[in-house]
Amino acid sequence: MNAWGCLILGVSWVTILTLCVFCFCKVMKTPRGNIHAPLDIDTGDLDTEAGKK
Amino acid sequence: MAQRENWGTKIGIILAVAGSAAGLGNFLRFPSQVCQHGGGAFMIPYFVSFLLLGLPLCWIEWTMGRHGGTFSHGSLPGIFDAVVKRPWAKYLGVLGLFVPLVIFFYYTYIEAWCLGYSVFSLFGHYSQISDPKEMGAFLGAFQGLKQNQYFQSVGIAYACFIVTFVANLVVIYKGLVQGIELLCKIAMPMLLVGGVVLMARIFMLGPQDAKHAELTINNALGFMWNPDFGALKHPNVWLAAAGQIFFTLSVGLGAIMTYASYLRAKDDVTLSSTTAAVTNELFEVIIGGSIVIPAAFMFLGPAGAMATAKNGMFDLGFITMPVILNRIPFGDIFGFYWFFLLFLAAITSSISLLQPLISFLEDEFGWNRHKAAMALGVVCFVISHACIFGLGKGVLDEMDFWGGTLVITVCAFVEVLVFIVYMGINRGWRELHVGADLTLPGWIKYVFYVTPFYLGAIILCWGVTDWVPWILGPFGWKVTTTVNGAWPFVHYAAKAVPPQPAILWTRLGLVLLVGALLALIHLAWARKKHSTGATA
Repeated sequence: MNAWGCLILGVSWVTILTLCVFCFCKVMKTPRGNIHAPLDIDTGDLDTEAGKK
Repeated sequence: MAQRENWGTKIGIILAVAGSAAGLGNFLRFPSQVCQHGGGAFMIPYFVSFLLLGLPLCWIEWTMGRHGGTFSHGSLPGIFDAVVKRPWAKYLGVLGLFVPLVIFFYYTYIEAWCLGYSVFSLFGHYSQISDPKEMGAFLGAFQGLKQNQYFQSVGIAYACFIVTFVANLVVIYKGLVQGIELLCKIAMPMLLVGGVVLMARIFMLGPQDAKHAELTINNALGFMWNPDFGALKHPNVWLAAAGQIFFTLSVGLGAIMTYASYLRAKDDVTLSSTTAAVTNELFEVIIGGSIVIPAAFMFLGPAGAMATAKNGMFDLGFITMPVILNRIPFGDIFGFYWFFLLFLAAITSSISLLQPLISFLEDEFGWNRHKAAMALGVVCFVISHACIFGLGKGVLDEMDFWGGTLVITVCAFVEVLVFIVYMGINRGWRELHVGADLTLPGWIKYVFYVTPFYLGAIILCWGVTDWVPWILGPFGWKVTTTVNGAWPFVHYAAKAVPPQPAILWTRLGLVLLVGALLALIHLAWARKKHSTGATA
């Protein structure tokens, strides 16, 4: 393998591995709070006179 | 309507999407493309295409998918309907049902070959074969194309197909979390470990022949990676790189959109989509690029490796690799590793092909998953037989052309246009960043303006050089094209050949399939309109 081959292989591998490590670290570090709950939908069901009581 | 499912974990959807993308092409297609198109120089257009085409398409699919999910739509007809808000848009979504369905018809059968070969390896069924021609005879008999001392009928391949088909159906039947997510959480780490083990084995090989001491791993990597920068002047190298990126990331299938539709409205898509795409690159560039071609170089020499690269994916995977692995100590074990690796890569892709249709039946017809899986299973099982028994008559290649080459590219182009025209780049950019755990640099927004032109140019080139000859072929015209340096001057040469009935029947079948899918879309919306009217 010549110098250019080494360089291209190295740059390709390092780029991909760095991005992989960066992305997976970020995914793992995401606090559980960032896993969002379904939207709270206010249906207005309790906005009746009976509901207010 | 029943509440839609959601992914159990973030890593679950990332591995599912990465599993959908990492398939046979990562291990077989990529290394042969690198060899044929300038070695290491190929990586320059490859990474340019990844940035300008691959990543934007992934972001668009994830964003539109999650957006569609908030309207309880997980398949392209519903997603287009939600984004475009015009009556015709849902019919355009037929592309996103047709493509995965057609690919599934034949992909499961190829997946079954991987399963069959992994068992053959383990029990040493072909361990005495050392000649590629003989291995070709073994493969041909296994596929039922000929009869010889190895196989008398297609029976074993058919049995493998049944097992593979049932395995796919069981995963889909079990649902998103207990089926797809669980499988991908197990299969993807196994794929990584299996790939690294094979890579390590190849890297530890010394010269195989004392007369050819130059056939070392260093020279094997040089054969693949030493760049020929002159190749960058040829448009077909750029086209091949764009094609590799396009096909490797599973965009245009509708599968990513469907998977993303099961996200919650404020779940992240930027980090998840980027992670899935980069994981696919890990399997392609690092693992896929370090197994087949380096091994072929060390055992067959540079001429043999180049011939192998030009012979295509299946010869590479099912003829060359078993012959090579037979020559190393514990070849049976490594043969098993190789084919089981391909099987894992294939099954994580094939299950994603069924999901858009399952989602369509669940979301638009209100069916439950079990009913949808069984109905779809019956249809796929019946039509897959055309690929099994029509192999060698051009049926499988024809389905691959329409489903896996032409319509998939057009579908991706339509998705990009819908995103840009109807969602708008500014709104799409904001939508992409809702709940984002990774903020993309602002300049990337402008890449979305480039993507449709890039993809449009690819479609134009492929249309002229490949698609027109292919489409005209079965009508009695063999059209060959030659690109004489100064692209885009393509010369057509046609001569009359006998029409091929099996291919014409396949095309008729595919047209009927499109008609049936359009009728289903129409029926689904008519039912909804009717039930809304009845409620009102």
